[in-house]
Amino acid sequence: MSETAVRLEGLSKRYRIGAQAERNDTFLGATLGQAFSFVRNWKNIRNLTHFDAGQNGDDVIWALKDVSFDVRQGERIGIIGQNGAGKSTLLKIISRITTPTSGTATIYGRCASLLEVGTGFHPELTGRENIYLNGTILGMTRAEIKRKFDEIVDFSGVEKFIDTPVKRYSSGMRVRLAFSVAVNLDAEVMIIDEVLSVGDAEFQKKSLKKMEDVGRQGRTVLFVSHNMYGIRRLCERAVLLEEGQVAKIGTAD
Amino acid sequence: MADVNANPEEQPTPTRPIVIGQPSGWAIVDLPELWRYRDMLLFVVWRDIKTRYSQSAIGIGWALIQPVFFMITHTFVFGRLLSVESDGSPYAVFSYLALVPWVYFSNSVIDGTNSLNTNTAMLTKVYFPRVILPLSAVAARSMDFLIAFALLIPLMAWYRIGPTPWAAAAPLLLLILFVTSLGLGMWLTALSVQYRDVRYAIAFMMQLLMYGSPVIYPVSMLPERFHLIYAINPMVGIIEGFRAGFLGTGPMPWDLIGIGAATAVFFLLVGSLVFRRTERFFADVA
Repeated sequence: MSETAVRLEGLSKRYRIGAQAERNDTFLGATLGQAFSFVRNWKNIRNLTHFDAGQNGDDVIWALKDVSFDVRQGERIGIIGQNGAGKSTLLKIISRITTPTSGTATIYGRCASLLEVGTGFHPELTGRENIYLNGTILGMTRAEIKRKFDEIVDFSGVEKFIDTPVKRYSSGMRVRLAFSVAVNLDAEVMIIDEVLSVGDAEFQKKSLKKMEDVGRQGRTVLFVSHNMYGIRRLCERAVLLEEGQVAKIGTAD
Repeated sequence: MADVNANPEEQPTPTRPIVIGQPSGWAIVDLPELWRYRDMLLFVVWRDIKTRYSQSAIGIGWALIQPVFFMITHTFVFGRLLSVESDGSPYAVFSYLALVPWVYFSNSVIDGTNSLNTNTAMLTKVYFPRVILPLSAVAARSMDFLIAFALLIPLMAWYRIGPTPWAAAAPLLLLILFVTSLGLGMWLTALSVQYRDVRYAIAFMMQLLMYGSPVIYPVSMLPERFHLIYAINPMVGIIEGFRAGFLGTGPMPWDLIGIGAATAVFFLLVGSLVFRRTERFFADVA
């Protein structure tokens, strides 16, 4: 049980806010911009990866600064903090969407992230087709989805409309279907960002219960939420982030 | 893949730990990882094909409309009015044999270039091998190619032209075509994430480049000494190869094809290097 599932060591992430300013809006500007794009490109990439002195000016913010903690296998850990505290950035790094500016994150096992449900859903495709498309985007194989198909459809409660294009779904149905795909992923480490606030009250209850089951199966869950009720119910430990730094680690209460 | 019914605790974790840090240097595409995501590649290709013509009356017929109408216009303007040579073949077939690979090339490079920008939502929410996006965009256009290519059979029957044995080289030409499109698609899409200018430039660059390829005229109209330089454009060898194979306009131009193939490989190498080099920033700048 005490084996490490996720280890974060000195994780920092710097964003450059000023990058937008260089974009050209006119044809001439665009053409000239093209001609010098190699120079600019090289500069931008360099700025994103290098820590030259004097480059930490006003247009640079640190979304994360030197974050280190370990998550044990089978642990459910909550990550809390105000807007802009760096919660989502942290999850984005752990789920490999973006790379840290410095430090490392090590993940032992397969990692599934539910940063936003329904990624890659196409409105013209049917519910069935979207389950396969979305499932494979999340890293499942076709055979795996086939095996879990009934479970996914059952959980979503949209059996009747499974062969209807998703654009005809109500927004609640769409979200429920998407959540059902994501929650049925087989992964040792699950990363969840606010997604439990989807659907109606009944579906939320079902989702919370599902997440508890997931935890009981010995899977590790990293959970970000503003919903303290959910955090208390699901998580054994919680990490409080403030301005990109770990302010407190302790029990969920 | 783990069995659903088995207790996860009983299974050792076979996967080695994933270390997320700052990758450095230049690397080529991670093929084993791409292989693990092959089902996603298939479904994204299938999605692109299925949704491109959904809720359109003509549907997949749009794959034919572009090359056929180009053929009619070119035959009238260049074949009749300007009497451009066509190496002894009927101008319509001569033109169509160039238009089918050309339209594929043009559309797949444009789609490939736009692939990251049109899928920004996926890019910023889920991890997957990013190369799937340009790869599937280029692959999805193959369906259009095959449909347009099939029209060649009635067209050649109408003009009573039979293919030469060299038509068997078509899969090789197709491979060069695919490699060229993929290489350029990866290269340009990696740039277009940061510089939207690339997106606007590519459509009109393709129009210009059509005149730099033997689409409306044969290579034989150019002075001999320029042929080998001209062939640096891979479309030269591909188009002339198709014409030689299917119309017998001359011997198979292996010199042109060889030079074009070298350019194609160069595009693929540079494209994948640039792509790998910049992909870790995609989610930040998209």
